[in-house]
Amino acid sequence: MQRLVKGTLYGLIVLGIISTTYYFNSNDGADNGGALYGGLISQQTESLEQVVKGKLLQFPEDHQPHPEFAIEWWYFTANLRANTASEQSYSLQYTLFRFNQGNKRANAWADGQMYMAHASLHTPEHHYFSERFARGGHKHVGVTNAPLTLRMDNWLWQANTDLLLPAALNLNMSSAERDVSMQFSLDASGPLILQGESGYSEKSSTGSHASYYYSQPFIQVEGMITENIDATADPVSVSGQGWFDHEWTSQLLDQQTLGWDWFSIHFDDGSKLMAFQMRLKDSTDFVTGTLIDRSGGSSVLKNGSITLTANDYEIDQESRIQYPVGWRLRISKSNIDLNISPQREKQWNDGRFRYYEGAITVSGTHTGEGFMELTGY
Amino acid sequence: MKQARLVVLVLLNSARKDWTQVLFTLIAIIVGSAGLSAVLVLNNAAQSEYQSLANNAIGLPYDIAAIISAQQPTKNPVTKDIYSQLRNAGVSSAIAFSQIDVQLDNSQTKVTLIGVDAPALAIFANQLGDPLGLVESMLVTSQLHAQIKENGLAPLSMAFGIELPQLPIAESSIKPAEGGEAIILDLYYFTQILSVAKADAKLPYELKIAILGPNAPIEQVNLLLPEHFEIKTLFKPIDPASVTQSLHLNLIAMSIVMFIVCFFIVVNALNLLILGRTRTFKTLRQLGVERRKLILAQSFELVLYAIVGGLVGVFAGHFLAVALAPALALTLAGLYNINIGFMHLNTPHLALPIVAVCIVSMLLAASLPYRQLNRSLSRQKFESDLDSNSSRASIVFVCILLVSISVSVWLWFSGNTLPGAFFMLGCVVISGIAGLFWLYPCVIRKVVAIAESWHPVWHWSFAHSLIVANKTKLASAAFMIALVTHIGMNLMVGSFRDATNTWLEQRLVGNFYVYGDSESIQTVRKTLQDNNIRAFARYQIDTQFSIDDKTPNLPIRVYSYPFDQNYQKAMLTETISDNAWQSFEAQQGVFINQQFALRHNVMLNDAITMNIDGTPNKMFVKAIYMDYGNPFVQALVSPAMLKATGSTRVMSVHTEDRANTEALLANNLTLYSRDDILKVSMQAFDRTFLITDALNIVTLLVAVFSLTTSIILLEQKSRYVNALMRSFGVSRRRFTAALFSQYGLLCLITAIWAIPFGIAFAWLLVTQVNVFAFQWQFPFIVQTGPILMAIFISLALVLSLAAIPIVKRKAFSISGQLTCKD
Repeated sequence: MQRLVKGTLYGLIVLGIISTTYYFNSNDGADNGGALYGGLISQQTESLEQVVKGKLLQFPEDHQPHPEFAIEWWYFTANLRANTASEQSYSLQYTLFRFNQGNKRANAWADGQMYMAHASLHTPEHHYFSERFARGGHKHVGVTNAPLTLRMDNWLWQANTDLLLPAALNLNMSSAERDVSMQFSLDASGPLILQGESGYSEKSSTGSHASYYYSQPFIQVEGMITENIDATADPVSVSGQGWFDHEWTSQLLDQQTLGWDWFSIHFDDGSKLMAFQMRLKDSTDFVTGTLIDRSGGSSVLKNGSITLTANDYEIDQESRIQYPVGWRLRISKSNIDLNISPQREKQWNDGRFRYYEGAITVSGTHTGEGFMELTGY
Repeated sequence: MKQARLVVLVLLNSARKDWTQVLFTLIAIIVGSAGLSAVLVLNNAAQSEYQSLANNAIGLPYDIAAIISAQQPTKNPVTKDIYSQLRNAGVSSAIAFSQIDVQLDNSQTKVTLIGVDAPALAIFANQLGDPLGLVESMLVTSQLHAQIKENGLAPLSMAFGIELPQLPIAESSIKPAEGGEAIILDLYYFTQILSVAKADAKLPYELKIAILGPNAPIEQVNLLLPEHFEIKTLFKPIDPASVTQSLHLNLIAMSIVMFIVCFFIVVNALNLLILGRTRTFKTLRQLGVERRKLILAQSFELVLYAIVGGLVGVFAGHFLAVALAPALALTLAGLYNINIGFMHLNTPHLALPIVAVCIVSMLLAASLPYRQLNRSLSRQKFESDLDSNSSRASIVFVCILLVSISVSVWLWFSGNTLPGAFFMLGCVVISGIAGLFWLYPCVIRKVVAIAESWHPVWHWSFAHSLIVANKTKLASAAFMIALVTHIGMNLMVGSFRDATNTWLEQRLVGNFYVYGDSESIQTVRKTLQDNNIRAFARYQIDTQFSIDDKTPNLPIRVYSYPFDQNYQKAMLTETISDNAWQSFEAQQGVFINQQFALRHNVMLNDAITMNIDGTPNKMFVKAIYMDYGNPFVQALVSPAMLKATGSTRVMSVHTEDRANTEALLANNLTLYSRDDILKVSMQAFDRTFLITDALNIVTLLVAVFSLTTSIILLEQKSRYVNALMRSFGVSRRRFTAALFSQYGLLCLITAIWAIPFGIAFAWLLVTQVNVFAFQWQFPFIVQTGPILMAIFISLALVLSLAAIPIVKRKAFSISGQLTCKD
């Protein structure tokens, strides 16, 4: 559910910014033909397919895109450590978004879908981040089967079969005077988790918005990260655990939504926790999640059963945004009381819009690590 | 304060009486400011528009390293799959695009519709703003933007016969390479308006792919693409920012010359103005006004003139820039093969700095007349010992001359840079001026000695010219600068023209030349050969070369060159080895142009490696050939090496029978005779240097104007002496002739003295500036015609203008002239 909120707001924020750029500033008043926010997402979502309760998700079919829905994303994060004595930590994010452009008819160039991909890697010394966009209908972008492939140019998740895992993930990014290439092999050590009610994930307290949402929180990651700094290659073997989400919907959030704080946690005992807090205007925050035991059994944490309190902040000096990076998370009925802190400073992504996406360390009644995403600040 | 205000009012009132001097001052400021601002505006526009132009293929401000297109678009087009293949392979700098031209029904305006894969540009967003705006917007060039603002999109859509999408519209500063207007939009909409929007696999246009730089993986792309695609590397052997730098330097140098000359005029005009008011200043002093206040009040008035003149000059400069833009565009097209429209001349931002420069220059120019005024008001003895002054000045001038020559010689041996070359040019001019001031008394004394036995009036006239020479130093210096630069530029352009003409005549071996697309030329070549007509296609490829392990692969365009006897004779080389042609034919030798040799310090028999036909070929440089006017590095190889992979756009045909040749040509091919090409080339050459000629003449006119103001000033000061001479019974006719002879002698000395310095100036331009700026050289030829023409025109102008004050003098009576009013 958080993913839907996130994706939708990504779109809103991205396109909101775009709409205020140079090009749009000099808009001469021509009608934009019903396209919302630069056309990445359509305003006319009511004509698209809606999320309904009771639908059974089927696999591997539902790993594929659902172009009849307005928005969809495939999301992967991993907490990695170098296979050396130092065990230096690396944190990885790869997200592929799809936007149905509503009134955009397919033509010889594009199929009416727009894709956006984000890749981020924090090494002990550097943060790589890159984003790419492409219209659908091309062989270099999209999600296909036989085998399951998630692609944006040469950013490639390629499974062995139509199933999600095992798979290989290849990414590369560059920044000034350095670049990085990554090759990972991914395998599952547990089942897929259907979020909410069998994959029907409510998005607000009114229940008027929802998404289809499933996760794979049991991913074993092995791989190689090769940094090229000043033309000198520095390969590092890494391993760790990853988290995958796939979510799609046509229901946008109402105007009351301010942002969200989302957490995925791998506890040292093998259990997992997904929790998010939706911040709403003139309303109390909507906080929910899923607790997953080490064998894959899950229980939905309904609104009110999780308490999230920010206790530490970090300011992005460039944007002057203050992010709450330290948290206390309590789930009374499960005897969980956690302190969440960032693994490193400055874990925000400086793309077309800024948001916080970074590795966390968990202490308290349980210990572990995971990822935190903060948007709308 | 009140007193100061009154003094200012008095001075401003007296300006009505001194309107000629005020007008001179204002004109000089306006001319200087206009020249400077025009050049700055043009330079600025050229630089910014070149940056834009370098990227005009996609209509967006990115560096394009290469463009991929199909050799046979209808048979083997660039497809979406090819595009995906590149991007899947990690060439994320590959950006698909397409262009079509449409003609507006109601005008001759050509509009280029450019479709770009806008979302793919996102990876460059941090460099250049937000290209994703293009996803749902259109960029249009200024003229269309104005039309759309006024009338909306509908009339344009109707005129195009296609329906433009209803998207937000922004103005673009980038124009298509071939002129006209452009509309840039995402390929999705581009496709939408060109087809019936069916998701057909076949694109309704020719797709191309741009590879954006700066670190474009050209080699990787080469390996990925099938053979039937052409990869056109966009050459950047010169950094884009510095491509036009040499021309800008030339223009700035000329504008500075103009400004300096104008400065001299201002000095003269202020001399006229301030010293003409001596009586007023004396009266004010007698009324108790301090000297300091008088100077301040006068300065206030001058600052007013500087502001007014400077501002008028800036706007005059704008109009001058607009007027000169087409000529400068031709110059750039001629020198660099780039077309710049100068659509965005941004003048207003120059107003403040240029007015500030005018104010400072005005106050500097006033310092000399102020010194004289100060002496006059303080009753200090005015130094009049001209002889002692002259001898002291001579020593100073000789010292300046020696220092200038020493610096020039030192630069000659140590400094091999463009600024160094410009400094040497400056040294030549300074040496010339210093030498001139040393020369005046020497020559005049000799002439006076010779004229001793002549009529006393002539004797007096030549003797008096020494005083005139001392009092017109500034104007003479301006005249000297103008003459030296005028002679220098004319000789340089003359040499260049001569070299180009000779070179073209030698290189154009064929009777006719056929231009067209590669496929058609290949076909017609075979047809011509079947008809026993010899024809040589000129093949070309864009590839990379390396000189040794240290030099990375750099882009180069390689052409084929026939090696039969006629073509061997036609090759104009700087150096060539003994076995050059044998080695060339055996595909072991390569000929490189002079630009290549100078830029990469390559000499005969050096080895270079070029990628031809996918494999590296190590070849030896066997000749360095002249390639005038080409800004890029190029090489020639045997035709056999390029026949398989090279494309061709031109073919030489050896036959006298034009009619028969034309009959064999396809409709899309164009035939030019050798004479046609020569004529067109030389016309283009002359157009190229039109602006240089114009600036040259303006500088000369300004210098002549400066000398005339000096003569007016001198006439005013000498009126008592002149009246005395007339009262001795010298006839008006004889006396006028004597005055002409004075000025004529000085101008003649200056003109003759300017000749060697003008030649040195031209020699430096040809052998130093041109080599450093363009990396090619042409033979320097001293042509007497341009020199004599420059001397004749300048003397005629000076003497004609000098006639004005001399003839004007007739209006005053002897008694009137003898009356002391100062």
